[in-house]
This record gives sequence, structure tokens and C-alpha cells, in this order.
Amino acid sequence: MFVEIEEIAKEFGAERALHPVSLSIPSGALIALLGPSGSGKTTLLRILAGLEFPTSGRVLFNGEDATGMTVQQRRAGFVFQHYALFRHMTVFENVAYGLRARKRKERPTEAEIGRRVNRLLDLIQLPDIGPRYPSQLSGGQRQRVALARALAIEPRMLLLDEPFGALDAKVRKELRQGLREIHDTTGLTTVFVTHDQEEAMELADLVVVMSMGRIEQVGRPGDIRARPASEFVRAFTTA
Amino acid sequence: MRTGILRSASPLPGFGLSFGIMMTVLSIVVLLPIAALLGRGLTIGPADLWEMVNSQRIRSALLLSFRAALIASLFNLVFGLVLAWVLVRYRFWGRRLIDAAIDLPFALPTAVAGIALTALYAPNGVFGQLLAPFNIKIAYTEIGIWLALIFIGLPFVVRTVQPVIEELDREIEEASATLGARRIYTLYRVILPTLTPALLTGFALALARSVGEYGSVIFIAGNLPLQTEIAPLLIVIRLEEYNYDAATAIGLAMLLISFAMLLAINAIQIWSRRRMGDV
Amino acid sequence: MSDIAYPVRANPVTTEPRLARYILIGTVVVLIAILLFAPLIAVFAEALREGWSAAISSLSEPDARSAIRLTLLVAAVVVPLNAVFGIAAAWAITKFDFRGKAFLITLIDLPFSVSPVVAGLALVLLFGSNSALGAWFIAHDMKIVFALPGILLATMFVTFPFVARELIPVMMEQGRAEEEAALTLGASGWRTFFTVTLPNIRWALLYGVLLCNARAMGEFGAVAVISGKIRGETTTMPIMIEMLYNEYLSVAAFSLAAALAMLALVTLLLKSLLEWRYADLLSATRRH
Repeated sequence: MFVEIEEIAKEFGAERALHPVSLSIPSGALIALLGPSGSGKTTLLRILAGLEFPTSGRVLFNGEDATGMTVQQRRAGFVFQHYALFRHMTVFENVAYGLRARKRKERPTEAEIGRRVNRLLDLIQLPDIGPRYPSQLSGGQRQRVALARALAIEPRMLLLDEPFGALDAKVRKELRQGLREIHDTTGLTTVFVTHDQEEAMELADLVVVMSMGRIEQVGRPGDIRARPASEFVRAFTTA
Repeated sequence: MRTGILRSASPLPGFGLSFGIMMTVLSIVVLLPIAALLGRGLTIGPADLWEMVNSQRIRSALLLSFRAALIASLFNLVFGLVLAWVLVRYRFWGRRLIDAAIDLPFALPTAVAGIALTALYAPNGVFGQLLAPFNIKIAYTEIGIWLALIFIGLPFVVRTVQPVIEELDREIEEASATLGARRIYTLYRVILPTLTPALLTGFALALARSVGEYGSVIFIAGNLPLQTEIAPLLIVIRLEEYNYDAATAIGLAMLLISFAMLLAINAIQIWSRRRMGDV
Repeated sequence: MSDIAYPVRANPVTTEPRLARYILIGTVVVLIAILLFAPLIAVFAEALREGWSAAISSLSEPDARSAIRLTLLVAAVVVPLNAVFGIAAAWAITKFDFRGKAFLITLIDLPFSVSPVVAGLALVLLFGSNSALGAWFIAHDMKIVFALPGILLATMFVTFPFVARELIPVMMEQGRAEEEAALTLGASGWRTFFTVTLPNIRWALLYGVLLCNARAMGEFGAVAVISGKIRGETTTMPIMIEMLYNEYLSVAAFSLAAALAMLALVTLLLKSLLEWRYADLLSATRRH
């Protein structure tokens, strides 16, 4: 699915989180929204998911206006910074949640749900943790479970908010590779938010550098490094 | 006082003094009287105790106390949850006043609550007159007892659940929504289970308080033997007749119920700590 | 405060539909009005049924005055005793490690789940004339049951946990570091307590004292059993209310009740002020 952001602005009371910004995300791309805290990158991601609504501007999915669609209708797989796993449910129940929440007519049978959950647990390379509770998992395992849960609803795109932010350096490297592989297998349009320029440059096809609610530059990692569009981009990407 | 075996070393002084004060007061005020009640029960003997408790009047009084407490606490469980949710999540005119008023049943003496409710719901009272044409009687019936117990048990569920709702992580609700769940499904499958331990604790506290409640109930109940006579009242009646053995028998039955509930509260807390862990 | 209902963070994702919000708020307002505000108003309305002068003159009857005096006396004795007990218990439990601590906390909470009438009964059995202890006291010319000491003990029983359970969570959270620092600086134990510990817990202590006082002045069941209800001698305000009410002296009963209701309102007001101003210094999770 390709996504277009047209002149999106967002205000929280008197505070301006996003000046009108525009961006085109090609189908199947892996995009990084890179910037320091307060740059508006998370707000933009949440607007894509339907968790926030823009003050003005439009969001288009495959050329169709999606601005007024509810979060449920958008079917965007979202991985939260702290994963937001349901801690009273097992890993299996967490991953199955989105399928079981569907209306009766659209809901797969329990046997089908079981097959799909197990396939996803294989995909994240944690085939045996279905019966465990989130409190019994390591940080890296939780992140992968959150990813599997987001993938279970057969999302139209994948959105990740600082997906590696809460992990230590070693695990971070491993999981970066894991995300790349999952993106390549599923072919999903994927947008992730990060404040780590190395992470953005290494993982993304296209990097969107943001600062103070504006988009500073959009480009391939190599191009941004070679030809920074502003002093801010140069300083931030060489830090 | 040297208590080195009992405790591990701490550089702070005053263990002997504070521990001594605590144990002395605890013993005189709480433990010795309860021991006296248990001791009296032992001298009477289990067979005689059972015989005394097993009279129809006492059975129906105990059953009434428990049934009315259960009904009132169930009402407070549901209403307390709604109340806590509304107070934490919504902003509306008068919210702070209601929040402060929740504790009125803790602050208002039970006898005052009892006569006030009776004045309102007696056949010539404000609410009593309103309900009379529909042939609904509240004062001097079991419904009156429910009402008094709803009053005194109201704050428990609210005050145990409120802080848990305040600490709820909004991301959990958002995660549920991004997975396609409608709001009602999120409330039922994600939020309710998270609140369950606090709800059960508040329910058990309200129930424990209501089973033994006396002051607010006796005015509105009518106190007819076999119909609206609660167990604590029966203890008072037996004591006034100087029938200490019978009073002891009923008192022990009620104490047993209290202990069972205390155990339940602790079990709930251990269970929830194990289940929820830290994420 | 605005007069329209809007969610805390106006986000349609984490709130209920508008109609549901209005229905829930409406239910709460109506039920609270019926369950809490109506009885409170009824107390004052009934007290003033025959005018202010009737209400005030019924409060100055000798029996009413002696009941007020007795209730104030009981609170004046029980509340400080419970404060001392609460501080001692919280100090022992939070500043030291010893075996059986959890069980001890359960014992301190025990009076919350025992019926006040059962508490009164237990005290009668312990100190009454046909127990060994009671006989000893009577032989030494001390009356406990049907006298002031019994009322004090009964009131202590039912208010027992109030101060301790406010202080324990607060002191648990604060740990021992500050006291240890004071000791290394050469302060004595008492000095450490008065200059370091007490300032840290004063608002929680006040909170516990407030609740303890309200319950001490209003206790009915336990006192009814142990006081013997001797008019003018062992009748506290709540007992007096019952007697007047049963004698169909409605205005007199409700006037005394209104005096206690005023106390309840003052308690709630102070409690709310404490919660709003010192929320962070009081324990985060509170229940009674």
C-alpha cells in the first residue's frame, strides 16, 4: 500500500507539534522518521495509525482519503515503544487478540487462529513461548511478540515507535536484522520512528529527517550523508 | 530489650521501645479480647455451640446478614467501578464535590446514617411517600437493610479501584484499538481484567464491613425475628438477657466469617501479584 | 471545571462514545444525590423541623450535654493513644526487618473485618464480672465494663488500624536512608525522630488522626454493647441519639445527629484539602 501525507498539521492546544508537512511513502518501502525528541516524528506516526487526528491536511491510502477513518478501520500494525503487551494474557492470547476481536462473520475459526499464531511465532523465531506471560520474557522477546501481534491482523502497513529504544546495544543489533528480514518476507510498507541516526541509516531505504515539527530532508541514507540539506541535518546525521 | 535473634541488625535505635508499645497495645486492645471470646467458646464446647447456632432464629439472622451484605456489596462492586471510572476519566461540573463526598460514609457516624435513611424511606418520609403509591416499601423491610449496607459500603470499591485506573497505561488501550478491537471489547477484555484484583479486594472489604454492620441497619430494619433481624442485633439482645453463652456462639460464627474474608483478601493480593508481575 | 463532559485527553481512541459518557455521568450524579446527599440533607432538615431554637435548646439538655462531653473525652483519650501506637507500629515495621512482619500487619488490620458488636462482646467477656480478670478488677474497685474504661477500649479496638495503616506505606516508601544520615551526623535517636522522621510523615499522620477521630466520635455498635447505656453516665452522642430516637424525640435525636454530621463535614473538608495539597506526601494507594 502506498501512503500520501498532504499538508498535515497538528496542534495540541497552543502548542504546534507539526507544521504542515507532506510526504509520499512508496508501497513496500522501509522508511525511518529520524529526529530528536520534540521533532514531531511520533505525532506523525500516530496520525498515520489513527491514534491522533490532524488539525488540518489529508492522509491518503492507495490514493483514497483515509483522514476520517477510525483506528480500527485503518488496520495498521502498530508496535509501541514499550510494547503495550496485555500482561494478563499469555503470548499466544496476545498474538491472537486482534483475530478474536473481529466481528463473528469475519473471525477465523479457533483452529485457524491457532495455525496463524504459531506461524507468526515461528517467524519471530520464538516458537515455544506461546503459553508464557509477558512478565516472564526478556525485553527483546517482548519486542518480537509485539511485532508478531501487530502482524497477526494482516495489517496494510507496519508502524513502529522507537522499536529498539528500550533495548541494550547487543540485542538492538540482532533485532534490527530481524526487522529487515520480516519486512523483506512480508513486503509490508513499514515506517519506524527513531532518534538514532545510525539505526535509521543502516536499516531504512528512505530516511525522513525531522526537526521542530518540520521535515528537513527526505532521501536515501547515502544521499543524506553526502548532501545534507541543512546545517541541522549535517550536525544530526554525523553525531 | 535484646531481640537480636528476632531481627537482623539495623543501625537505627528504638526497636525495643516501638516493638514493645506495638505488642502491648495490640495485645490488650485486640488480641486478648479475641482470645477471651475464643476461650469462652472452648469452655462451652463445640457440640453446645453448634446446638445454639443451629436454632432457626440465629440461622435466619446469620443468613440475612450475609445475604444482605452480599447483595449490597455486589451493587457497590458495579456502581463503585462506574463511579471510579467516571471520576478518573471524565471532567464534569461537580466532579470534585462528588469525589470528596464518596468518603461521607466513612466520616458520618453509622447511627446518624441509620436514622437519616429511616427518616427518608419511612412511609411518611420524602422517598417513602413517593414510593407508597407503587406499593414499594423500603424502611422496615429487607430492602431497607440493603440500602443501609449500600450506604456504608459505598467507598470501598471506589477507593481501591480509583488509583489503579489512574495508573492505567493508555498505550494498552491504544494497542487494543490498533488491533481492530471496538471500545466495548477493549473495556471488557483488556481493562476489566486489569482491574479485577482491585475490584475483588474492594468487594471483600465492603462485604466484611457489611456483614458485621449494626448501627446503620437497626433503625431501618424493623428488627422482626426471622425476617429483618440481623446477627449483630441478636448478639446485643442475648447480652441484654445476660445469656453470654448464646452471644458467644453467634459472635464466634461471625468471627469465623470475618477470618474467612480476611484470608480471601490476602489470597487475592498474593494471586494478583503473581499473575500480573511487572512488565 | 467546565460544565460540559469532555474526556481527560480528548482522544476518541481511548474514551467512550459521547452518549455513553453522558449516561454514565448522569447515573453517577443521580445515584450519589439519592444515596449520599439526600441522607445528609435529611439530618439537618429533621433537626430544624421545629426551628433553630428547638434544635439548640435540645442540645443544651443536661443529658445531651453530658453525652457531648463524654464523646469529646473519649476522642481526646483514644486519638492520641492511637497516634502513639500508630507511630510505634509503623516505626517497628518499616525501619526493621523481623520475622512474621506480614502476619503482624494482618493482625493490625484485623479490627477492620471484625463486627463492632463482636468486638464489644469480646471485651465484655474479657473484663466482665464473670471472667477472672473482670473479677480481679472489681475486687480492686475498678469498673471497666459499663464504665468509661470499657468505652475507651471498645473505641480503641474499632479505630485501631487507622493511624498505623496511613503511616506504614508512607514510611515504607521513604526507607531508612535519611534517619541513617542523621545518626551518622551525631543526632540522637529521639532527635532523629523529631527532626527527620516526623516532618516527613506529618501530613500522613494528620490524615490518619482525622479519620481516627471521626470514627472515635461516631462509634456505635461496640460502645452500645459495652457501655450499658447508663443515661447521663455512659451514653456517648451516638448512643444518646438512639435513646432519643426510640423515645420518639425526633428533633432532639436529629439535633445531636446534626452536630455529628457537622463533624463529618469538617472531616471531609480537611481530608480533601490534605489530599489536594499534599497528594504526593500521602500514600498513593489508600483504602479503608
